[in-house]
Amino acid sequence: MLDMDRPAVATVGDWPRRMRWPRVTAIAGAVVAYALIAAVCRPLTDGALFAVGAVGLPLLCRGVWRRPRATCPVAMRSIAVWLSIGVVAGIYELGLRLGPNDVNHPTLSTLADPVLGTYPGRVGGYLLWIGFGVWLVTR
Amino acid sequence: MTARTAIAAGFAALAALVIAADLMARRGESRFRPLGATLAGALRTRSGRIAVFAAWLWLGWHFLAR
Repeated sequence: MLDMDRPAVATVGDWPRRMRWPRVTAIAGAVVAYALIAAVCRPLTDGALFAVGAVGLPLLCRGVWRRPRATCPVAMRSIAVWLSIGVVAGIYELGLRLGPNDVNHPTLSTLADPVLGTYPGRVGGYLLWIGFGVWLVTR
Repeated sequence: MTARTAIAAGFAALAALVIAADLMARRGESRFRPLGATLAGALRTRSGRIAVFAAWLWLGWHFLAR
């Protein structure tokens, strides 16, 4: 009989408790170290493109080709709710992007530029982005 | 209120909507699931994984590299 609560592949959550925390700590440390180094590269440079691609492409490949945990199916109602919010946000952003897109009519990325233009802001941005990617890969 | 302030308020309202919907979904009687659970559900299929990870990679490229 298929046990639906059991993950399909070994994940962080499958490790014995005494081995789980060192592994989680090592991953968190690697993410922080990478964010501190990658944030040195300012946006619109080859270095920043490399910093994003060097971690983004391997995580994308791992995430796409691995078998995910055996999670419960999501009802269409949940998908509809979140997709609706996403569509509203997308239309809002696209409307601004296709509009003047100047200082007075900024898109989300233009609004974020003053924060991501600083080193601490970029460290936070890399931490959020890579952390989200690692979370996705471990689902 | 300037156009810039109004636009920023619109983004803040969207963020508040996401947080409010997620909190509502975590209540016992909710008829829809939190964002994280929905994303995890989307990862069940290969096409869902491609869509979610492509969106994630695009976010990193757009905000941190472009």
